[in-house]
Formats: sequence, C-alpha cells, structure tokens
Amino acid sequence: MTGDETPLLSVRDLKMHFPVGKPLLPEMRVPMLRAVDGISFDLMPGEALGIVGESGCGKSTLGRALLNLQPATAGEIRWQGEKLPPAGSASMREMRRHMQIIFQDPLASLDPHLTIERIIGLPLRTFQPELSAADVRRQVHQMMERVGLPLSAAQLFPHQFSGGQCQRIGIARALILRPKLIICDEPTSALDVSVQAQIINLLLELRRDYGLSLLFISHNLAVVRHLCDRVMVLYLGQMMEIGPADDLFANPRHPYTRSLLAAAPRIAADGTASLPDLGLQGEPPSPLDPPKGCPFITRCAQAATECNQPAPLKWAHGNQSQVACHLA
Amino acid sequence: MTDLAQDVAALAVSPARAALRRFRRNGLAVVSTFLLLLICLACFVVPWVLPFSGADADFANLSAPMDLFSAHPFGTDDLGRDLLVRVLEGGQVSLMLGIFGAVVAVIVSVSYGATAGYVGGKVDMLMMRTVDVMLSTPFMFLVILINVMLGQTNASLFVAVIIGLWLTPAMIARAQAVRLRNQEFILAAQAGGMTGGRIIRTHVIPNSLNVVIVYSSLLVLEAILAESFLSFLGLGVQPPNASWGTLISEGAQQLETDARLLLLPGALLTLTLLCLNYITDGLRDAFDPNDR
Amino acid sequence: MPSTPMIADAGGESVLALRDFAVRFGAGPQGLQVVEGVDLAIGRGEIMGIVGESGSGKSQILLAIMGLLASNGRASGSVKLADREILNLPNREMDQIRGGEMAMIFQDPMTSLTPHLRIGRQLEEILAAHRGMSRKAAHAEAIRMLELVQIPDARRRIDLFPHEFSGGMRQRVMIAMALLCRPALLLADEPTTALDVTVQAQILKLLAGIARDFGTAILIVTHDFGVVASLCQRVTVLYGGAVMESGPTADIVRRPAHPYRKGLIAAMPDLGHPPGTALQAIPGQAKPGGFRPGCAFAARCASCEPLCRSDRPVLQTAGAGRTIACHLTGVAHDW
Repeated sequence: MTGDETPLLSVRDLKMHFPVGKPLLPEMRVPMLRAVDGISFDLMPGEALGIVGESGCGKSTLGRALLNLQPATAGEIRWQGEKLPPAGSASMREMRRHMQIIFQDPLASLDPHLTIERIIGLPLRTFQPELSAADVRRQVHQMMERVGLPLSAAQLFPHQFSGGQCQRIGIARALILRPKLIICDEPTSALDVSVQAQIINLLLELRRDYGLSLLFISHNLAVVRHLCDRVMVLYLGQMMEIGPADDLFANPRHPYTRSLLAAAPRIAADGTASLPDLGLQGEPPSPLDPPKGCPFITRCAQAATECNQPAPLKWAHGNQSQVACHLA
Repeated sequence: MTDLAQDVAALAVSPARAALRRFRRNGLAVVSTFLLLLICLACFVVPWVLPFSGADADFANLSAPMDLFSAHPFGTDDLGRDLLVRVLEGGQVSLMLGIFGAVVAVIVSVSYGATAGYVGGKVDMLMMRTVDVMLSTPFMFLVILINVMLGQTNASLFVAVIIGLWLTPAMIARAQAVRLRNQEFILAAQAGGMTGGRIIRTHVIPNSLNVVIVYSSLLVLEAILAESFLSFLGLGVQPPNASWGTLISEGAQQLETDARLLLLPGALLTLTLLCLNYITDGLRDAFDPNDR
Repeated sequence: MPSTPMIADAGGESVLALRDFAVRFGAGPQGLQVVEGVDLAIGRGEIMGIVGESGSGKSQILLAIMGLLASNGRASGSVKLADREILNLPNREMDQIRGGEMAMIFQDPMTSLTPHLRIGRQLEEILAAHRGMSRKAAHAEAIRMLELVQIPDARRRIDLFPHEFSGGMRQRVMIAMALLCRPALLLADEPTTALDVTVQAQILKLLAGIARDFGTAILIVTHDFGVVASLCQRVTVLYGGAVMESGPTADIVRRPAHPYRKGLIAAMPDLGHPPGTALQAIPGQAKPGGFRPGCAFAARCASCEPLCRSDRPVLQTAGAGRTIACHLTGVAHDW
C-alpha cells in the first residue's frame, strides 16, 4: 500500500446513536441505541474492505452512514480528503454519483411498478438529464449485457425475475454511473449457494474491469474472505479487529474473531464436521445498554479485570492490523 | 439465463395490468361497470337526442301517466315536463359533479398526502393537523361557509364537495407514503441522487395509486351522495337546474300525489350507487391483494 | 458427531418412513409437481438432514408430513410414523398426532408464538391439551422444559412475551414447545437460518443433545451443508423436488459423486478456494416444480448427456447405505 495515497474514504470516530422512543418531557433522557459507537478506518482506492459481524453489530447502519443516507451523530467522514456535505443537500446529491449501494433484499430495492429498463436508467436521467432517451437506453442495454441480463427482458417488471437476477439489476443500476465505490450490504445473504457464486464472480470481474472499491458487509465469513483484501470485525458498534484478510483468517487475534471463525461449521478433509466449541456464553447484549469498557466482556472466556476499561487499539502484524483488546 | 429467455416470450406484466386482469374476472364488478357506463351514456346522450328538454313544458300533457310508447315514455309532471328527460338531465349534473369532484379530490389528496408522508417530521405534523381540524368541522358548516363566501352556484357546490371529500383519502395517501418511505427502493432512489420531489413523483405517488384507486370509486359515490344530500336540503343545485337531489326533494314533497316524481330519480340514484359499490369492491379485490 | 451411521430399515425400527413420497399442487396438466419419488427412513435418536436450495421442495416435504399443506396440495405415497400410516389422515386425528408424537419447529420463531400471550401460557396450553395436566403441574413442567433448553432464569422468563426474547432465545422457546410432549419425531424447517452463526452453533448443540438424551428422531431441512455436516448422521440431497443423493453424511461430504453436489462444492468459497479467483458457479437458477422428462438437474449440469435429458435416473445403491440418482455414476466416477 503506497503510504501517501489519499484514502478514498476516511472515517474517524463515527458514532450513530438513535433515541428510542420520545421523552414525555423535553428534559427527560431517553435510552439511546448505540448502533455505531466510535469507528475509524480508511478505505484506499481500488480496495475491497469486508465488514463482518453478527446482527446488531451495526454494520448495515455503518454502510448507510457512509453514504450519508442517515446523518451521523458524531465523528467525521471524508471522501477523498473532503468532508461530506450535509445529508440532503444538493452538493451531497451531486456526490452520490461516485458512491453507490446494493442491498440485501434484491426485490425490495426495485420499484415494483417500473420496468427494469427504467429502473437501471433512472440514475442516468437524474445526473445527466441532457441525455436523449435513445442514449439512455443504449447505456442501459450495455450495462444489462455486462451484468448478464438478456436484453429482451428490458421491459419486464421486477417481480418477474428471480433473486439472483434482481441482484444483477441492482448491480447494473449501481454501476451505470461508473462510481468509485460500491457498498454491498449483504448482497448474497438472501441467495442460494449456486446463485451466490454467480454474483460473487460478477463482483470480482466488475471490480477488476472498473477499478471499483468495495465495502462488503456480510455475516458470511467465507464469502468475505473470498472477495476482500482487508476485513474489519464489528461487535456492538465497535471495531474489534481489522487487518489483511489472509492474516485475519489465519491468525485471528481478538477473542471474538476467534469465536466467529470457530462457530462457522467447517468440513474437515475426512468429511466430518464437529459441533464447534465456542468458548462463548450467552448472547450479545442489547445495543441499548452496552457494557462500559470492552463490549465483549460479557461473553469473553478470557475476560479479565482490566477489560472493564475501554479496550485500546493495538497495532499488530507489522502495523497492518489493529486489535481492540487488552490481552492481545 | 436460459430460463429467462423462455420467460421473455411472456408479456411484461405490470402490477397494474395484473390487477386489471383480476378485476375482469369479478363478474359482479364487470356487470356494474357496464351498467354504470350505460347510465352515463343514457344521461348524456338521450336528452341530446330527444327533441325536447327537461325544462320544456308540454301543456297539452300535464301529469301524463307512464306510457312507454308515447312521446313521453315515463310521463310528465304537473308542469308538463317530461320526467325521463328531467331525470336524465339531473343525472348529468350529479354524475359530472361526482366524477369530476372525485378526480379533483384524488389529485389534491394524493399530492398532499404523499408529500406529507414522505417528508415527515414537522411538515407532516402540520399538514395532518390541518386535515384533522377540517375533519372535525361539521360538513354542513363548511358548506354554508363556502356558499356564503362564493355565492350559491354550481361552482361553490363543486368546491364544497371536494373540500369534504379529499380529507380521508389524504390520510390514506399519507399512510401509504409513510409505509413506502422505509422501503429499500426509496433508499436506493435517494442513494441515486434523486431529489425529494422527484422521488415523490416517480416512486411514492405511483405506488400509492393502487390504494387510492380503490378509494376513488368510493369517492364518486360519496360525491354524488353529498351533492344529492345538499341539493335535497336546498344548499346545492338551485332551480331551474335539476339534479337527482333536487328531484328527490321535489318528489318527496309530492309523494302522495305522484309517486313517480320520487321513485324515478330515487331508483336511478340507488342503482348508480349500487354499481359504484360493487365496482369499489372489485377494485379493492383487484388492486389490494392484502385484503383477499 | 456419532460414529456409527445407522442404516434404518423400513419396518419396526424406524420412527418415520417415507416411500415414494410425492407432493403435487393443483390438478391436471396445470398442476405443479414439487416433490417426487422421495424415500427415506429415520430411526430412534437419529438425525437426518434434507439439503436443497430454494425451489427444491424441501419445506413442502415437512409440511406434507405434518398434514399442513395448502388446500390445493396433494401428497401421495406412504408416510409411516412408527408403522402407522399417517398420510392423508383426517384432520382430527392429525391434531392428536401433531404436537404429541410429532412436532415441528420453523425458521421464524415468531410465526409459531402468539405475540400477545405470555409464553408460559402458550406452553401450558399445550400441556393441558395433550397431556391433560393441571395448571400447576403444567407450569412446573414448562419451567423445567425451558431450563432444559438452556434459557437462563426460566422461572422469571416464563412470564415474558415473545417479543421480549432475542432471536436465539425465541428459537429455544419454540424447541421447548415442541418437546413438551416428548415427541418421537421432531421436524425442523431451517431452524437456524435466521440466526447468527454463534447462536446457530448453540442451537445445533441443543438439538444434538435432544436426540442423544431423549432418543428423539430429528428430520432437519436446510440449505446449509455446514449445518448438515456438523449435525446429521445421514443426509438426502434434493434438487427440483427429486432426490439426487442420499447416504451417510461423512461419505457424501467426503466423496461427492453427484454432479449437483460437486457443483455446489465448487461454488462455495471456503473450502480451499484461493481467494480472489472466480468460483465455478452453477449456471442458471432453479425453476420450482414442473417436472420435465429426464433428470431434474439436467439443465444446469456440467456433465449432462443426452440420456440425462430424456430419462429420469432412478436411485441406485452405491456403497454402504448410500444411494444416488445419476446416469453417469456407473460410468466414470471414482467412488
């Protein structure tokens, strides 16, 4: 990694706290849902960063916050060195052509009463209203071919497609503006294994051909390992570990990372798989009331007294990885 | 991908077309639509064709009885006016007011409600509280107010009916918009850089229409009923113009002497409302699958 | 994982036996055949998995066994619960069996828990209906069952509403509900799909414990081969409503013979695949139902021959306790 390249995305101490319910009186305090609680990282151009964690860790909220689809409570997001304009402003809308998103539920992200030709073409028409209808159609068709959709299907409606095809439509729509970054919010979680592989292959090709940066959010470690250069592990809105993918999977340093890797059923060479022994007790605490100090303290088998303090971020692996753990 | 190639032989089936197909399969709704069209046709075409109008008095034939083969198939009233033509001409006013009133009410309420629902926050609250205030004001009071302000013309009746009518559909449209704004394709549109106004026009309103369409035929029914009611009370259409409401009012006064004066417009009004009712049912079954 | 794969045989040994089981929706030529020709048998304390993707008809098998198919669905063949034919029994008799001898747990626990009743009440109702227990006895038994499925602080939690539990806990409550009447057979429809990986591991352990300690036979339906590999002694692979392969899990995982299973392995990213390279995806996607002549997998199979398209392969024995439905297995394959 060249040290003096400007990161594409630069996040510092990002926090997204949501009030739960409304106070009866303005002075009353209301419990806050701390979905994202202080995350910092850099994304370099052309890099694929995976974000893994279980439900409730805040990864989807993080994805939406990065696009300023939800304004951050605190912290800073910089795009190519410049702070992001306020959410909802015209300048933020202008920037959206560079950063796009594909969603977990492929069908839900498509407007049911529009043809897919219109759906894919809408971003074009938004940003380049001067284009003629024929031009738009030509670009839409080009993109359809690129993602593997037959041109004859252009006039069909979303509900007439399967999940994998709907995801391709979503990818075509995200790609048509040639963005620099695509945030993938669990795009393969709702798909069958065989279709998942098709989508993964497509993302690999497109990343290569268009030089895309990807932020790949998923709970499926295997897929993340396959696609991403670096991986970040989230728990309760905080970053537990981040590092190059091979290193993270080969030498997990954080107890939570180790548990995650151990929990995924693995099939050994002789065909057996044993039920994993996790060293994990209980379930994740509620993001409404996270533990002070290290959030993993309630379930960590190695929890010590110093873990009642917030965990420090330590460097490892020759300054390429970071771990948030007292005991690492 | 090969499977899709086979599917392409199938026509693109938009949700709207699928819904229309479902509507066509509902026998009662189709018959009612047909009947309604017939009534509209009759009201607008027949008086045009016949040589006399509802205001013409045929002094030779005062209070003529029903005789389907005479010049006055349904007889005349005590002023010599042909009853059939009078009822049909009255239908013109009622139907036009009903249909146009409903159309305008739909346009106003959907735009208002979709905007309020999508924007949310204080704007939404303000807009909906206004609706609440208007809903709690007695309808008669509003009508009288409008009549005083605009004079008692057909136009003021039109305005009054719309004002009474648009409130509930606006709340429904707003509820739809609130439901839609959390859906992922709206989020995708925002991520695609669309402004709020464009999102409302391109995504929110068209996807709210299915619920509103169901409601719109009910609106026609309510508009016609409202107009009839107001005219019956004397607050609506003024003589010499006639509508079903005024005719029913006059007929009620002369019930003992000549029942036809009440029964004829009454029957036609009832038939129209019945048809609209079944059409509403059919539309609801067709467009709102959750209710099935 | 238990070491001896049990080869259950039709007849006295098995808790559940399906023979030539098929499910069809609608009648006549427009009907949709979603499952065809399924044979399987599960013995006491055994865990069997049915693996398939969407459109394979796997959920329909469970629903049909329970007698819960949609009104236009027809199941045919033979379904024997401990030697008693239960296919197409009248509803009244099925009501007695369901929840009693045979219970089912679902992917989404919220669907089988009534949201506005406390779970204690829901559990007690079942005990009262099936085992005729009094309120007090039922309450005690319910608490005992909740503790069995490792819900902490069961005495207090029994008075909570379903939405006050987390996903994993709700799933445990559902398992507790299913076990109240000590069923001989437990059917599980994707029980861990909606759960996080760490919670999934705990639930799988729980199910293994239930089979071991109570001798309950478990039939689990899933699309996740990892779940099957870690939990089930035997597995049936389903594609397009037809059985592709069946046999001891270790065997099928270690030496996949059917092209579908091989294709799936090649398509999954974690088994030794160098990252960043293209996976061997199986082209196309599954079309639900609609049996065409020939093998159900023919349209997407890399090794498809003309015979595969015209003739439906029959399940043939292929080694100890293992069957496979493929025309090509006798020819070139290496098991």
